[in-house]
This record gives sequence, structure tokens and C-alpha cells, in this order.
Amino acid sequence: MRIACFVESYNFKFKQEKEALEIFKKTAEDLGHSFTTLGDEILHYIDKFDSVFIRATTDPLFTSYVVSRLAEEMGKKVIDDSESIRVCSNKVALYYRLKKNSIPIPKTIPFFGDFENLESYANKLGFPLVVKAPNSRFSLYVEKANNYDELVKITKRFMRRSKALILQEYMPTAFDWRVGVLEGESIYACKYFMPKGGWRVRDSIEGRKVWGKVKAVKVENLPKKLRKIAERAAKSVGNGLYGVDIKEVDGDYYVIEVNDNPTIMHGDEDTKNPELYEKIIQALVS
Amino acid sequence: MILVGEGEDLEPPDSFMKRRVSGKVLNLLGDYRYLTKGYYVSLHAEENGCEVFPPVKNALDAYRAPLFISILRKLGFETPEFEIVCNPKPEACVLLPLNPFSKNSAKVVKNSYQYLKAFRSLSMNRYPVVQVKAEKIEIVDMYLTKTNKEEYSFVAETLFRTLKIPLGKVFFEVNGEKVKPFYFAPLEKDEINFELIFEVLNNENSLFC
Repeated sequence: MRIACFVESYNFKFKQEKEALEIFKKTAEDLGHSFTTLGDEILHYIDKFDSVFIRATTDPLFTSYVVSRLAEEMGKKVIDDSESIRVCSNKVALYYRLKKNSIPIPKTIPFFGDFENLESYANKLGFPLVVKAPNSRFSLYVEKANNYDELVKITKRFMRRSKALILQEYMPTAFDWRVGVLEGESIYACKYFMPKGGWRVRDSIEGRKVWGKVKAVKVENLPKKLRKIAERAAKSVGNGLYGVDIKEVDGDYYVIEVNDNPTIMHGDEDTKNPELYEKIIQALVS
Repeated sequence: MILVGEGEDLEPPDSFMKRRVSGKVLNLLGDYRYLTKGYYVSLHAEENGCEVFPPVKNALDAYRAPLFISILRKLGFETPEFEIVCNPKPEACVLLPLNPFSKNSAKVVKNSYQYLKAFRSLSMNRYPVVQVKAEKIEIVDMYLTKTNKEEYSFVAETLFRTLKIPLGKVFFEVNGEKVKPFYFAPLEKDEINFELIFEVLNNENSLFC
């Protein structure tokens, strides 16, 4: 089978991401498939391939969405499929989906600019609370409001670029679970630690952007309850490849995000479950 | 049927999005681009299990020229030739964004200077651009199954019944007697003709069957 992998250079800032891509290619070739990485020129060649693997930032406003939709229209197997992109790229859409499927999440309220109700929303969630722009990623446009004045300032600033926001209960934890789920099955897991002095996985500490450490955990060793919640959360979006972020508080689990196109870096996500590469390639050719 | 929009006899989007809804929803905001209020109204309806006009997937498809042209061709319409270009290939044509970041972004270019200027603006030095072989174009406003120019309503009828998009602007290449649709864009708030919308709603019984 011929697999096309859509990449954009700015997505490969870290050498571990390039290494992971090389492992994908080698794994595909060892299994008897071709694996061709392409940039925007993929738009001319989709019909030449059997499946498309998107490893570029996914968002309905980016080229990746058009690649996904065109591939679907041509009947190709696509990871990420367009519905997953639409739901996961938008925290409001994701909130609807998780709520509808009774997935445990922190207390959450979508905010559509009705400032007259902002105070009552804040009272329901308590301070501090987290404000998220719908298309935030890598903790960008995710801020914590410690009081009502801060909340008004943050929401006004965020509303300049969005018609909707997410207000969410703040759950402080030392790390977030990240469970990689493919076609409904957990295939890898990690703990994404908060950097020292930060509260987000990617935070700004003394004016510097800092990432927390990553510690892989063998999927087979995950608490059953955690694994089940991750798989249910992924299923509520679709049947593709997802990175489910989960907070653990007093033995309970709360899904904070389901990400399509999850980060896979060699030496991080793949450490305990290196077979993830083969599983993803098999999903692309099945 | 819930009619959502900004006008008389319509439910305002802000109150609509704050309540649980059911049944059929006609979203008359006119601009359904990603992250707009029109998009969220359709999303809210869809996630509440409603049949909504337009569904979010169709709205996103319609505004992306290669997908819209592909849909038109599947529906049997003749369309102009087009190409997705990553680098400039100057010629007299219509340049369109691959993704509609802003409204009114289609550019009719007649020479290299206009072409390069439009290409820079649409590509944002990052995105591919859609180049349509068309020199003379006509833009019509679509209101459900009708257009503001009667002779183009045949396209509106098919688009509404298949894509379920109520409002928009359809771009046509005009070449002598032949008219070929190729692009779909949002309608601005002040361009929406509610009189025409209600005329269609009152006269067509089988619109939402």
C-alpha cells in the first residue's frame, strides 16, 4: 500500500519529532508499504496514494483540513479524519461531545460573550478558573483567572479573536495523563509533568517558554479506570488516533482534552510502547 | 422549525446557544465560516441532535474552493478549470484562498502585478492558493432555493437541497451564454434580504422534507 504523510516544516522543531517520522517510514517499509512525506504539493497527488497520514497542525483553517477532506472525498483512509479535526480543534465542539457522552470532565461552561452572566458563571466554577480559547493548542491562549477582574480582562482579550470561549474549573495537578488511543484501543501512555513553577505543560516561567518533563508509562500498567475513560473519551470523537489528556484527583479522572494529531516524539511517547508505530501503520493500511 | 438570525421574528443566536434545542433549525446568519457565530449556531444545533441548515461539515466544504468545485462536478454542473498553486503562476484569472480566513477574499486579476499582489495576500506566504481560469464573473446572492437573479436559481435549488446551505454568494464564470459556478462565499449581515427569504419560506412547502 502507498501511504502519503502530509507534513509542514514548522511542525518539526524538535529532532525527536523527525526521528519519530523516520521510524514511521522504516516501519511502513519493513511491512512492505511505501511511505512518502509531502508538503503542500500533496494536494496534487492524493489520488496516487491509498491512505493519508497527517502529521501537520490540524485545524479547519489550515491546509491539513483540506488535505483530509479531499482524501476522504477520494475514498482514502485518513488519519486524521475531518470530523476528528473539527471536534478536537475546537474546545467548544469537544465540550459538547464529551458532555453528550457523559465523559467525566472538570466543571465547564461555554461562554459566548454574554458578559451579563459572567459573574454567575464564575461563582459556579469558583476561583481560580481556567479560560481557554476554542482553538488553543500547546497551552497557548489558556490562562488562569484568580479573581473577577482578571477574568473580565482575559475574556475581553480572548473574545477579540473568538466568538466563544471555554471557562473551566481549575484542577491543580503535578502532571496530566496523556493516553494515546487508536481505533478505540490505548496504544501508549505518558505523564506530562508541569514545569517547576508552572501550572500548564508548556508554561511561561520568568518570561521563558518552558516544557515540563515527559515520563512514559507502559499502557498495560495503566489503572483500568483511567484506560477505560481515555478510550471512552476518544470514542466520543471518533475512531482515529487521539491523545487524551486526563487529570487525576483523589483517584478520580477528568478528561480535559482529546487531541487529534497527538505529538509523538522518539524517546518520549514511544519509550514504553514502541509498537505504537506498527499499530498506526497497520491502521492506515487496513 | 427554529429560525435563528439577526432580524425580526428570528431567535437571536445568543439566546439560542444558551438553551437545549430540538427539532429542525434554520440558521440565517449568512456567514458560517469556522469560529463565527453562524458556525457556533450550527454546531450547537447539531450537537443537540437537531437537523440543521447548514450542517457544519457542509458549511466548511462550501467555502473551500477545491471541495466546492468537486461537489458541483458531482452534482453535474460544468465548472471552470482550476489549479491549486503553491508558487505564483501569473495569468489573468480569479485567485481564491484555500481557506477562507477573511470575507470577500476572491480576487479577479488581469495582469502580473495584480496577480502577484493578490497571491501574496491570499497565500500569507504560507498557504496554497486556488487559481480559477475565469476572466469574467458574476456574483449572485442565494436565498434557500432562489437567487436574487432568477436565471441563476437552478444552482440554488440544487445546492440548498444537497448541501442544505440557506444563504451565500455564488460566483459564476460567464463566458458568452455559458455560466459555470465555482465559488461560494458568505453573505454579509446587511446584504441579507429577509423579504426574499420569507417569500421562499412561505411559498415552498417541501423545503425541509
